[in-house]
Amino acid sequence: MRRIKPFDYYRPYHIHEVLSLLKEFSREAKVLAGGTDLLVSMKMKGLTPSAIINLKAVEGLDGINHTGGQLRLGPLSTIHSLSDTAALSQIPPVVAMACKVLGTPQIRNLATIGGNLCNASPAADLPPPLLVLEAKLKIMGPSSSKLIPLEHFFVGPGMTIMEPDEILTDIYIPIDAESIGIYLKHGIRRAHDLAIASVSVLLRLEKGNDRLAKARIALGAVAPTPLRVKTAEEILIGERLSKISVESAARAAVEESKPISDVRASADYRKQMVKVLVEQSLMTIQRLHNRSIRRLI
Amino acid sequence: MIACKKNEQIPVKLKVNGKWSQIRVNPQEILLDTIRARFDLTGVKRGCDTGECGACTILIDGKAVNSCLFLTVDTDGKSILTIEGVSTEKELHPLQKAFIRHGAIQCGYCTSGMILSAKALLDKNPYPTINEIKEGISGNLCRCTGYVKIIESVSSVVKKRNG
Amino acid sequence: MDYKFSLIGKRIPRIDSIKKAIGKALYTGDIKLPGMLYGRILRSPFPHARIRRIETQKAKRLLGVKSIITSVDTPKIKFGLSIEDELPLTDKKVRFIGDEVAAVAAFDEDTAEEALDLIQVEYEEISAVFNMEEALQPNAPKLHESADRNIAFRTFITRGDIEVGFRETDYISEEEFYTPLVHTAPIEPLCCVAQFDTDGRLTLWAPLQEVGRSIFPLAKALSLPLEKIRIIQPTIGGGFGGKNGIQPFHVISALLAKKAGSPVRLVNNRQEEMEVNRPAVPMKIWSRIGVKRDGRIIAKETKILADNGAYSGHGPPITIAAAVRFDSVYRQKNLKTEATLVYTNNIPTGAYRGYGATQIAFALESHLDIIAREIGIDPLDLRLRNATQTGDISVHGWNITSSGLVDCLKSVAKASKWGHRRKAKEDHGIGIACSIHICGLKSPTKIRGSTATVEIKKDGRVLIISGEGEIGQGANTVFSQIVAEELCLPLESIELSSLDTDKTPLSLGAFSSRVTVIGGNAVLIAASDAKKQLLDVAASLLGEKPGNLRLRKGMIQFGKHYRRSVSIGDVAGEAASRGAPIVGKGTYDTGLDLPDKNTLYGDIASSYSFAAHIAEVEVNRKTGVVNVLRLFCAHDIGMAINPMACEGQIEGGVAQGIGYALFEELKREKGKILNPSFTDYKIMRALDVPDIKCILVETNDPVGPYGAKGLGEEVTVPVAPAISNAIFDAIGVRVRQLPITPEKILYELTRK
Repeated sequence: MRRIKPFDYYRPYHIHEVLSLLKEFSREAKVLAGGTDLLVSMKMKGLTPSAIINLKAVEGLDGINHTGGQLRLGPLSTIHSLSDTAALSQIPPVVAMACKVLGTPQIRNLATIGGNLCNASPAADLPPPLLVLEAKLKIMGPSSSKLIPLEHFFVGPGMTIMEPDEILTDIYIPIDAESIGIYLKHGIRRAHDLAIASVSVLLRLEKGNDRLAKARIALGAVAPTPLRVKTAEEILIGERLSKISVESAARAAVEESKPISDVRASADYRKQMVKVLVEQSLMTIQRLHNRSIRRLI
Repeated sequence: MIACKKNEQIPVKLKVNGKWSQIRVNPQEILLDTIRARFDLTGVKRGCDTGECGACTILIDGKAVNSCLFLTVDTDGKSILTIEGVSTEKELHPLQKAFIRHGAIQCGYCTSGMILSAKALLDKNPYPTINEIKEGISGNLCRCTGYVKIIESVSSVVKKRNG
Repeated sequence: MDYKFSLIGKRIPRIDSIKKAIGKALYTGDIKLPGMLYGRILRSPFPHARIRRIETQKAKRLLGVKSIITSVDTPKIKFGLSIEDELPLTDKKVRFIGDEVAAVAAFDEDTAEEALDLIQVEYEEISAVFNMEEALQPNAPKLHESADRNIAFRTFITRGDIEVGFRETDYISEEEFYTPLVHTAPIEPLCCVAQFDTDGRLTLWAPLQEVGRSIFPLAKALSLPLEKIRIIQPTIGGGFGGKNGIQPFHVISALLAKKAGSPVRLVNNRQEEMEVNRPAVPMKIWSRIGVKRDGRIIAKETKILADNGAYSGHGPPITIAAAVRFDSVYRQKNLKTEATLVYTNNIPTGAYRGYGATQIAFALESHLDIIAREIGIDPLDLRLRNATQTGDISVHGWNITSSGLVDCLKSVAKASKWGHRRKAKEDHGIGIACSIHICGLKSPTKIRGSTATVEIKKDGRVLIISGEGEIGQGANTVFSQIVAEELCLPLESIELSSLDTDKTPLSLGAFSSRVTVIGGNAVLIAASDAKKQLLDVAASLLGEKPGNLRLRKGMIQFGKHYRRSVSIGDVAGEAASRGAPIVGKGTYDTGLDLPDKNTLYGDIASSYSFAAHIAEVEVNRKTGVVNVLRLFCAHDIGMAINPMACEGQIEGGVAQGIGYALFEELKREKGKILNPSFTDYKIMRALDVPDIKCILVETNDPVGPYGAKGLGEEVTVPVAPAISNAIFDAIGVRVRQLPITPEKILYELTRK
């Protein structure tokens, strides 16, 4: 554990200023959003950036709005603001669910969705729900910007496809009012620990026959990056949720997971929890679906 | 754009417990140290330095944050509340009275942070359930009390409000 | 007791609460002295290595560095609580990752850290041993010259005849248990401020649980006469055993201050705290118990292997406590115990709440549960059948002046509806465990008992001077209640002197739950003395007989129908002006007979307290997660001087106990602590708290003040076995190695 070493400090107002600073400092600069990951890394992992670029005053990086059938989230949106009662009408429930169990109340007041994504911890809480929602990220570089599916964003533990001279400017989530999503996180205590394993599931059951028109499953903390488990999804598409299909999908998810053993849990236990969480998620959504059907009747 | 080279200082204007102050800080100065050393307000404590224990909790613009994870330069224009600012000249805050009356304070090291987290909770959600109270203080560790009387204290303040 | 108390037995908020609630309590880290420097310690990265060379020139030249010390700057005198095996800065070799090698004091913390980076140390790594059994092998690396086979301490105890005993039993069971490395984890880490004055006298401000006793090792290590040391105890941010005595840490701060000629503050960061500050002693406990068909315990054989880490500290007395303490819970005659304390190249271990009892209780209370189920007897009945009763002289010669064990067992069984044992749901279980604790150890040290003075001032305020100290457990409040009750004063008029060895009598301090009984008795005697003096003076002033006076709310009432009165303050003022201020004095000692040094037979404390806990749990068979639903805790506290403070101790102790049972463990690999932070060393948060029902059983012990006993440590002891027994009740799985993690539960479930 170390004290924080001196750094050059910048507080730009415009994205182009950020980009030119990033270009100037290359890998020596770090951006500061909420600071809850950056400052901890500087104290615990010996990170010593030459420069820190505070993004909090940059125009256009915050906000929640709708554009063309999509929800657009600014990367500086705090975790708290995304789970706040005011936001609930706009934010997909599965995202709010993940926000509620991330860190502690104090962390949630500072941490941002952009930070959670760009920090790319394999155990991060927001990637799995955003993966099942098929979010897209807008990444701006010095000369261009690109739109990337979240699926392609993570490349390794703590690593994204972003270059040192790029920044995340927007998060787009397609609006889907028909599907039901859930995020489940497994930890040892009831309080909000770093996930030992986490699962997010998004399902759309067809009216009338209850077959799955849409099935998306994502896992967290059990692989070098958060990941979609398409083999499990394929087992479910077009099928009904039954004991067999649920177990089958869960087994496929376990197959795809590549957890490690570390101080928190063994790889074996994590695999067992993937199975439990996937099954629990699927059954919970089935129940929620049945309940909403009953209400319509 | 505001820029400041390392080892230079930058002016910051912040309101602490209702009083505006202008100070000059290095970019790497941490808010916890500023409050304790510069403002001499030692009620806020350092327990872990990494945002896990909550002993350093203060309110920034009404929101509970870990001051050990906040750069002082980032407080420009903001309003900070520490435990010393919770009571008025004449009386203790209902939370402080409740903590005392219900035996929620043993060694007292977590108390400042705990009361501020509880205050932030009640200011936003005046009638929380027991579970919401537990959630609200879940970022504050206490090794002495087992949280029971802390939860009771906050709950008693809520009950009094209900009349 | 038919006397009606106005303050004793009442739910009184602690008197120091207000200061703490407004952020004005002064903790060691809040102390600012003019010219104060900041210290940092350079620690060994190797578990076992010789030091070839230390180069400090570069560090010395760094602007802002005021002093750097290595072993050459120290008197090189070993110190230690019982085995003197420690130096403040290691001389020839380091013995664990974190061992203190050098230290720096600088104008600010950044410079101090930079200076550490500039100190160059040349280490020659030598082979290390991390496992107790390996350390005992003849060819294992030797940590200390004086310790053959790395045995720091060993004790053998026999009572009765276990050969005969085992022959007479109907059923014999053999089991092995393991308790892990757990950290005391107070939220305030270890810290201190040291300052030498121009007379070469040291003042040390430190959150030490034992202040008076600390002068001796400090004086020894610094090679100073006792009178040259003053220790002041600021408000302590939690102890739990972790602040229980002088460590190299404190000596280093003094040495830095001496060399720099300025005060030095030294604070552990959280990582250092978890990597270096004395966690609980891990123990491997092999137990063989023989019982009769009806559950009576006839013979007991125990072997304990305890891991002391690199230095002994509290290790030896903890080993004795583990070997001896639990045997007096039940009536028994034949036992044989062997306990071995082993050095390993691991973090030095020390006092943790329960002081050895926490470890042995897990083993023995789990074992009795196993036996009860195997012979088909209700675990509650088994305990009732064997329980120690008032008036017993236990197998170790302990004089049990009062035992509330049976009352505790019955009340906790009733509260939890044990008899019905309704399994409301599948995977729901209930388990019971007991414990014993000593209240006020008869200390085999230079400091005997406790002394206090109670001074009545002319404004009617009363000052208590006691050397015992408040570590957050409520001692100051209890003392104030006692004095206020005796003198019929409101609590607000009582003041307590802060703990300062220059002003307060030398005392042992807060450990072994002694403060209420021993400190409390001294305070009570002093208050009675002050009362007598007060009434005598008043009587002579008023021309009355002392017997005709009565005390009411700060006034002395006299005359017909007690209509006339004079204030306590006025009388005290008069006395003072006559040259004889009213200062009551009280000394209480537990008695001079100490147990036999060799056989360890004999009464060791003034009284003994008992407890019984019942835990109700629910286990998720899929995830292995244990949800503790409810804890019923009955404590034989003699008399609850402050019931609210008692509950606070129980609730806190239970929270700690649940962590001990289910998720707290400092994990290590080759001597390195893998989880030295609150992220991965998990302690209880508010969301994890179960329902806790506190039952205070009052047995009115003849020894303690108002019949009270101690409470502080025992609260944690029965929790882990109660939970472990409840888990077995729920899903038929017995985990013998703490913590009982979900992984271990799932593993056992798949094995079945």
